[in-house]
Amino acid sequence: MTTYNRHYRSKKFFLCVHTGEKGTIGFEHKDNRLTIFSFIHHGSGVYHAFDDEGEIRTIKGKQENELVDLREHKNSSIVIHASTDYKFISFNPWRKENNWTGRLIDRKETQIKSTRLYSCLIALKNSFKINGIEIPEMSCVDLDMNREYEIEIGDGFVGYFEEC
Amino acid sequence: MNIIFKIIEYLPETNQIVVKFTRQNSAKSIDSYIECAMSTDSLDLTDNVSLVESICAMGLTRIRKQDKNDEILTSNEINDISEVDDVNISKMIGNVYGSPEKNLTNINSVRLKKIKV
Repeated sequence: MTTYNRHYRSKKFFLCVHTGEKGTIGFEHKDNRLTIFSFIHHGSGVYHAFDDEGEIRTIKGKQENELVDLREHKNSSIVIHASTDYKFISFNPWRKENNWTGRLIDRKETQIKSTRLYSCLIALKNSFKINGIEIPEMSCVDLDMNREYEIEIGDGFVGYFEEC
Repeated sequence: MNIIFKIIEYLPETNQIVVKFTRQNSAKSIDSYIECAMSTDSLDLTDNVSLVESICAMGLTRIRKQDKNDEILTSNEINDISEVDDVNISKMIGNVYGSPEKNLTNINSVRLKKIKV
């Protein structure tokens, strides 16, 4: 049984939180698909992406706290099979044609600066601090272009997303 | 949405019923829809409520098809709306907006909390 239980909207993108049990199989048609990154909050599973030539690519999300890059498969229909109970958070731009980069901030990083017109940090798990302000889990900070910020990641997992 | 049906004919020799389905709030009478036959073997005959629910469940696909194919009144047509545009309630006055029911079920949609730094 799967639960697609929360949808966080933002102006440029939205996040979907999926929780489910071991053995869950989910399907997503390419026409409904906007996910380009997926953060594994806990659990593990496998994505099977079907391209137009009928080829199937397998992407394993086996590490807790991993940000899986699915940009290559944004135009593929997919099947997801969970091998354990899971929670994952998908990052979805509203416009499929827009390009984004995404990564988790390393705990050793203490400063961040973006040269992009739009970029943001999202507390995907636990909180983190930016310029001394605590950002709770499932909150977002939009970064100003070319401004340097002090960050303290602590035990948080922070997604850094930039629109190219 | 309430699903309604009317049994037109019972064929005990072949264990079949002939039924018409529609949504209770359909703009057309149930009598104007095409009937279909279904086997009573696949129905839940435990009690009347179970029977009615199992017939409704069997008709669900047909109802969804009706819902998709039934003519939409011009005055009920949905206007396009963009997630990217700023919210402006004043601009929405007098226009019709809507969302597929499937988008509303079991999904708690909230605005992502943004913190200014």
